Amino acid sequence: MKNIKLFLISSILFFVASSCQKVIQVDLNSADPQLVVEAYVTDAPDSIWVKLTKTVNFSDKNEFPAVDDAIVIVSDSEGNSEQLTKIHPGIYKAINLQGTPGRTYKLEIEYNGKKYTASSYMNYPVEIDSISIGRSVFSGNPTIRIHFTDPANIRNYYRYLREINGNKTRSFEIVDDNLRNGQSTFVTLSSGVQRLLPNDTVIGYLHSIDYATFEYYRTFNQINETGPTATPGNPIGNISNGAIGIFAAFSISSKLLIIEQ
Amino acid sequence: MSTTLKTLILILLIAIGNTLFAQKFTLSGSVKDANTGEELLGATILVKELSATGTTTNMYGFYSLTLPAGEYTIIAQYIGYETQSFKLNLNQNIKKDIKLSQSSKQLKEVVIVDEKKDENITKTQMGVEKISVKDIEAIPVLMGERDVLKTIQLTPGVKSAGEGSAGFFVRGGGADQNLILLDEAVVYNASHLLGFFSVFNSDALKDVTLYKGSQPAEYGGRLASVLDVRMKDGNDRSYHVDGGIGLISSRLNVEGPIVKEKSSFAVSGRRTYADLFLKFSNDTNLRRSILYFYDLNLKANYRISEKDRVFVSGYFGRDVLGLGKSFGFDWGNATGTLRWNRIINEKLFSNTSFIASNYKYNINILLGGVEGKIVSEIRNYSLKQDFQYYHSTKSSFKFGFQSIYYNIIPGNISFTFNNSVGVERELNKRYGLENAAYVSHTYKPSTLISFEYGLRVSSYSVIGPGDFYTYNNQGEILDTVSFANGKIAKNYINPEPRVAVNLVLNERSSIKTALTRNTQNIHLLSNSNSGNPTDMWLANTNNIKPEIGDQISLGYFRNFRDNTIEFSVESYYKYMQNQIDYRDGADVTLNDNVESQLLYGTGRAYGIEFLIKKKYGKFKGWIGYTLSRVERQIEGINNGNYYPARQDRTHDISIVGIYEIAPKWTASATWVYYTGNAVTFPSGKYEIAGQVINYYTERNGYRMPAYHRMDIGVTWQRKKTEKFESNWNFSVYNAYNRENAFAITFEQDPDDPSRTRAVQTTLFKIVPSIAYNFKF
Repeated sequence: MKNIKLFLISSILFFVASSCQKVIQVDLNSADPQLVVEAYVTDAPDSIWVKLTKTVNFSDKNEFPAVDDAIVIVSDSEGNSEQLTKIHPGIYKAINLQGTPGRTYKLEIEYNGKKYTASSYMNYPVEIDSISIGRSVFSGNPTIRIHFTDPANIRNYYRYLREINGNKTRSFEIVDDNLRNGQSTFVTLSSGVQRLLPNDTVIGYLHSIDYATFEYYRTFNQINETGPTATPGNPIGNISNGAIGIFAAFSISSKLLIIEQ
Repeated sequence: MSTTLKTLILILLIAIGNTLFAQKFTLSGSVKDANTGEELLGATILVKELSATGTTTNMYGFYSLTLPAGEYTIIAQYIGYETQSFKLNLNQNIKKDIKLSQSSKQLKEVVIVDEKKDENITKTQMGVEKISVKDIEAIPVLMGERDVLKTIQLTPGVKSAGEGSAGFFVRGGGADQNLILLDEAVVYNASHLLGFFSVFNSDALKDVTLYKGSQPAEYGGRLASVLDVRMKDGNDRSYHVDGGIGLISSRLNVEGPIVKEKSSFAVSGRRTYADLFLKFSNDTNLRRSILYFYDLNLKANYRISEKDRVFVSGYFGRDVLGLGKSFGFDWGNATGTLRWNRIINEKLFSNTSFIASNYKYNINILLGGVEGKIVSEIRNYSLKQDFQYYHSTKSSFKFGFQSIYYNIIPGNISFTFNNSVGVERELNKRYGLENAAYVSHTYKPSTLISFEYGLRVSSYSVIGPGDFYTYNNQGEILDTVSFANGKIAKNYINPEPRVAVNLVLNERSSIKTALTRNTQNIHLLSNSNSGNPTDMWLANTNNIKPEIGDQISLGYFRNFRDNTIEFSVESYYKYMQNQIDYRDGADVTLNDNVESQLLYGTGRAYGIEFLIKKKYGKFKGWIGYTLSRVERQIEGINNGNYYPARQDRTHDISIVGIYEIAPKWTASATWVYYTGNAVTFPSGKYEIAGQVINYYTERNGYRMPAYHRMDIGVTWQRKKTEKFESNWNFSVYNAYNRENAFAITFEQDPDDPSRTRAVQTTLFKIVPSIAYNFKF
């Protein structure tokens, strides 16, 4: 809808030939630096990983200070717990603890005398039945379809990604089972390339995420996609005490396809 | 006890005596334009012998005066018309239609207000703006398109929703809290071209009244205001054509008798041709673009008998936007009104209306084998019955009812791929029935005090079929309940008291106060400042409750220099319940589960409005100033603290000046200034998943830059004879070329990846225009 409106406005402005855009200085408040958390637990080996940074003022450079002196603990609902080790500036990792589907994970961060917590349930993985190559009706470029069967009786939330020759998507493409509960279904991703060549490797990933993670990605996308006059806000995260970001526990299933001759 | 009883009997006897024992007769009829036969609404009828006795014609031009038998001199007046007086021996009930001629003076071209000279002092109602179509003609506007909605925004307490929007805010209310009526039919989306123009073609209009929240009991359904627009009935004596040719549109209006002095019609059309300019573009996409709108107003009436008259009127308008064959998008309103006026007797007037209105948009996509279609619509059918009973010169009653049946189709979506069915989806349709009954009494016991009080009781029934959801705090569905066809899922009933009191201090000044409750059963969601054609109307459900607004207002009115200068101060406080706002990151586009994206809370608005207005002479105009505030408190936004609503603007100034330079030349200028809207800007930024994201600390915590603009215009009367008249209109919008901010976006600097920047978009710099208008 945003594009329609921009198109219409630009059409009108064509003959008015009157509108303009300019870079301006806006006097923005300086917010107190807030803790930014990006934390994941997955069922892949050695994948409990936490990144801590801080917000900066809008007028500052895009350099976000790493938080090095925090105590970061991840525990699961079976009573296992580990304090993570700082391996790079702002990056903390678990050495022993591993993620297991069906458990609820808890994140605790102590920093600057404040305590931040979050929890996330790791859903069971949903197997990918197959992946196939389609074609975009809009651009004619190849698309990747990930086929799977949604488990009935429970609410499922998915994030899906593709990797072509080691090149992974970064966008948060998500779907719930609202319209496909219990069905055999597929999701479609752009390949990001004009054509796939023989021996190209294509990997489809399906992450089983929980509702809070789904909501975080959904609001993240929504806020970044709305038009210039809409009311913006922060994505809805799951971390307490005013920290920004997400703690997501999820299980991963993947499938490889090598393009044939 | 016995004294109380005696007093009561005494009062009763006096009351009965007043009405029964004195021989009284009624003078009734209508007031019309002598040339066109068009009824004059709000014309004044005075009795010379009885000071302060008089009445005004109602919304259909009817009047009724009940007086003791005797000889009287009756004076009828209407601004821009010659005053008429005649002697009358009232010894029986008399029906008399009064015909007034337009005054021959040039003056009438720029008449400001069509009302009795001191009416602002004597009438009971406050917070009412009456705009005559003549006003609109004299005021400069964007691209020469006269526009009643733009003119009404120049009055205090009424604020423009901004450039690129025909929406307006009344006393802190949202754009959807205005009830916009065209011949009693609801207009759901009053804007064309995404708001650059309104749907009201001033050629087709007769009378425009805006009630700023303290509306009488016959109106209801929106919290903030009622904009009552009446279409012209058409000349019932001779045929006339008038029209105009402007830079982006042309208009034509034809009217005349069907059966002379018995029946007449009026047809008005307008179409823009902006897209013709696109054909000259170098850009292929722009050359293939389609972009226009049209309006068609139709009205006819027939006098069946002395006592009965029927009217049928309709409006059809559409915006069409497209890109070759691959993309089409059109939207618009259609309304139809069938009305029957009956003078039951000289004291009792009845109006019965059947009304239908609809707003609809269609999106069509045809691209590389994909055929997509989205249709969304809101429709209502309504039956309305109003009675007016003119009991005596001191007392009159209004009572009636209205039933509205709503049908909302939020979206039917279908996509086919290479002719095989792909996706077919129908979002939950909603049905509802709104009923209201009202009674109100206008009572003027003396020249010093008058009352208008009444009660409106409104109800809304949410009707099946449909699924209704309950949600948890996060907006997840907890439970679904299905209701079958015709079953009532939920009922809401709200009494709405309305009281207005006028205390006349002396001939030149008065104090008025009003207390009003309004409710609103349908709500428009818009996540954008400017409004979109795809914004969706939502009816009440189990989650969305009727909005309730209580307003108390107090005003002081003073006229100077023999009523030629009016001054008023009005202040108000409004408390609103069940207000709706979005959650952060709400997704409302074609979302079946849109209620999960909403939060509910309360709002408060208060302010003071000053108006000084010069109504007569070579120089006319007004200065309006409003100091106001509107805030909301919603659990889940800004930690539950009060925050400014988007339309909260501290200062709002409008200055309008119209000057008759020479008999053929009229110059006009307007200047507006307002505090920028409350907006949400980032207070920082951070990085997540490798992307730089803006960090927001509070909703609407910042301000857009202040908006100000001057428009100037000149009208040159070319020819004026009995048979033909024409004029040229030159205008300049944004005369001193102020770059007002339409939007400010915060984005990654494309030239420096280590930086972000703020970019301001301005829609209109200076825009000159020219238009030619004619009439024969």
